[in-house]
Amino acid sequence: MIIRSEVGRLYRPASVGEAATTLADLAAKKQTVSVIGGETALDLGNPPARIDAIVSTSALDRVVEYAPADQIVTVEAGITLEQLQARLRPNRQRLAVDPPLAHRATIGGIVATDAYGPRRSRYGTIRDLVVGMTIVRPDGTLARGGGKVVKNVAGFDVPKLMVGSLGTLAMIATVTLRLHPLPERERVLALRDCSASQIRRLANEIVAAQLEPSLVLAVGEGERYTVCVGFEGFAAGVDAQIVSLQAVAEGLGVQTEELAAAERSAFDEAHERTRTEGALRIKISALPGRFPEIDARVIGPLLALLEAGRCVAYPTVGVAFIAGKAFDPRIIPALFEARRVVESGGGTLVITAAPDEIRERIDVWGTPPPAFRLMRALKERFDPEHRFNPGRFVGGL
Amino acid sequence: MRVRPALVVLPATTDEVSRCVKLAREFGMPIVPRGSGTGLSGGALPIEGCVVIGLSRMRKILDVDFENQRMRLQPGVINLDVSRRLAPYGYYYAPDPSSQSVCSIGGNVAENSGGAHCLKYGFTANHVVGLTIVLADGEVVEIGGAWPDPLGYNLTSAVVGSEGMLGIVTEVVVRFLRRPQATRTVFATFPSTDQAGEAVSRIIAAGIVPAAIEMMDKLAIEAIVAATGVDWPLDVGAALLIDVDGIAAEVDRCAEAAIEIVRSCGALDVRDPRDENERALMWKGRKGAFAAMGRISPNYYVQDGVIPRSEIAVVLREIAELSRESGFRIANVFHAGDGNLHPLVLYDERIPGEAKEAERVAAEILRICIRHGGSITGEHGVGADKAAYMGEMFNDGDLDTMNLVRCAFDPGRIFNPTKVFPTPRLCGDRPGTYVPHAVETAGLAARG
Repeated sequence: MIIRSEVGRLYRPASVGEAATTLADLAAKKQTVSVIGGETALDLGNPPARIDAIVSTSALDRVVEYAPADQIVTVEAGITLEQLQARLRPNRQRLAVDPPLAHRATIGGIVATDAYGPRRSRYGTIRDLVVGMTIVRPDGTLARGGGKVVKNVAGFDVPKLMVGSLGTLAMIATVTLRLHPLPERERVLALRDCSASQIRRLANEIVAAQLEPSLVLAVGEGERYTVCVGFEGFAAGVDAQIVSLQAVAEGLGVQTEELAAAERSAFDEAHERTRTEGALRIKISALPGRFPEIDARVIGPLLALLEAGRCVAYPTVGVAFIAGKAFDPRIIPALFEARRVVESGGGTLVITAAPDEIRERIDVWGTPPPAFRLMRALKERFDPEHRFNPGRFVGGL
Repeated sequence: MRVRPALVVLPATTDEVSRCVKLAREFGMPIVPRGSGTGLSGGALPIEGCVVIGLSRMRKILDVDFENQRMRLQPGVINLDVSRRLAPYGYYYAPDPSSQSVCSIGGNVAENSGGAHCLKYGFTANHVVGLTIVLADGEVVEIGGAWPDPLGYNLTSAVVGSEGMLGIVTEVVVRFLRRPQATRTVFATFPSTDQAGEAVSRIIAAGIVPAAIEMMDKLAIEAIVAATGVDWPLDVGAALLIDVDGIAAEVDRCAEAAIEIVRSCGALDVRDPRDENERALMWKGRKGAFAAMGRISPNYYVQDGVIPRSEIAVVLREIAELSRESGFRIANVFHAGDGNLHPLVLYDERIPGEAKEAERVAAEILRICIRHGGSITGEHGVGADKAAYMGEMFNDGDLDTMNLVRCAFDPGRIFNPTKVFPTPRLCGDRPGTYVPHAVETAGLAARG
């Protein structure tokens, strides 16, 4: 972990106002600050250059306002996704994101890391669901952006800019989110023993047949994949899509079987393990059409150099996750080569967790994007003294 | 509202835009970017001594990638031409503002345009993945990207909806969608807007996510019937136009459920057109609603405000009260599914003082929206028209934070400098003394 809670003095503000006061005090003392939530993404990024104070959102876990009829909820940043879903369930509603570790991941953390799961292909990420936010800027200023209605173009969209900013611009204090109805039915088909090119053809056929899966998750097994395709919604639509997908799979010469609840949780576990366990973890993003190329030139060579290497992919989104333990020194040149391949065709390879000996030899983020000067300018404006997670983000932001 | 710009330039390439920006900067002239000029908040209005950079000559579709459902466009491409280009292949571009036959993609990016169908599919911000922009010093940068999760801060989110104040967009990468298996439209009339509002709430509560739910009140229906010849009944209080789309079996299930709900809410006349032409005619009626006002009034003022969906009936009653008090007729035609109101204040500019008075009444409607926890604009933008009301929705800390974004992009404030912000804000000055935030004064938060 790049941030350990014992390294700095720990603050646990119990209200948004207290958080603002705390941060104003820390600003006066010129202390550096790392804001933490459920501590599920503390491997991500470079270790901050200095950590004087840790501000935890764990005591900021209230639902501030819930309007079921408007399908809108405002929560404090420290509430976990699981706690929130439990509050929404009696009204048959949910927040349509499914990142790993829902029992620990906080809404603030999910926003700060733009964390998502396989349902991204249908619902987008939390960036598509955030409608408002209260932040505390590094100088202690409380500021609100957006509102509590889904449609709103008053002023610049500061909340969406905060999504994925990894605690380097401000502390996220409250978040207002758009909700979705809980589906009446959910069914998942497994397609066994697929090659990467079959997966690509499957994705194209799903589009051609105008199907709308809620998730497409490929779980690597050796050089092949088992692909879980899920549908959710009203029963009639789900059942019709299952029949259509069986026909699509038959056309591709792939066996299908419907997964019962127990089998589904086995795949969910394999997925979560790959996303969250393993000393070395890598995320690859590229256009979905490149999946066969990425599989052959990036995923295969990297897995060959990992002990207990695993891979899961969201082939309709265009991301793949690799995890394992590095034992072979050739992993370093392999990572450089993999990144070169991914970036040269348009994409990114981010090392989301790594032991120090790897971090010392390869940048975890990759080549800073062409508009990096604008990112630096934003950092200068929001955090001119570089006190919020200094150096943790891309290019040392 | 009329200002003659010092200069109008119509560049044809990104490089020409960059050279224009450098020249304008050299001469210290502010720049106002402009697309088709269809905006309803005056974002593209020239300001004193400015250079207007019109992007209407940059109207090429540069690349269509069907496999990944992405396309690269120049900013002057007309919104509807994007879907027209895709239609033969069974795809479409989701954001569909009512002005889509004339408005440009670049303008849509500046305003984060919506449309009737954003209830289910989201706004321009949800469909733009990358941009090429010319910055204040003339440098050309690409932000975002076609692939998921570009590295670093999400600059695309900052630029979409920034009303031409951060840079000039010269290329846009959008995500497009496969056409759904089926679409069904349900049209229903009601004795009152209360009942129509109740139907909207109950459809949403039933777990249905319609592609669109539009509401029209009595006055709006009269105007639409007079202008477009749709055969809608006139002796009603309100009408709903509902689209459900998606998987065929699910669409049928949802359309039947919606019909049952509108009937249980007291609907008078329920229609379920299966004929594509009849469906299209109904939507033509709705999309032509603003223009139709000309049939019942010499002039009208279009307002754009948002309220929580559950407050529709209450707010419409308040607007009716305002109409009675002020003596101005107010027609309502709006996106009920997301609470985005478009009250139209009808007036006659030939009567001295009436235009000004109509504007005052329209402003009062915004205050009603703010009081009900809504927004002063859902899709038309702040522009020149609503800058004065930003301070009623946001406090100084909020506006100061938005200004930080602007200063990061354009510290010299050469792009559209007089828009959006209620009072001039400089870059470089630090915020002063502490002022309690609205969430604190409302008791939602307190300083420990």
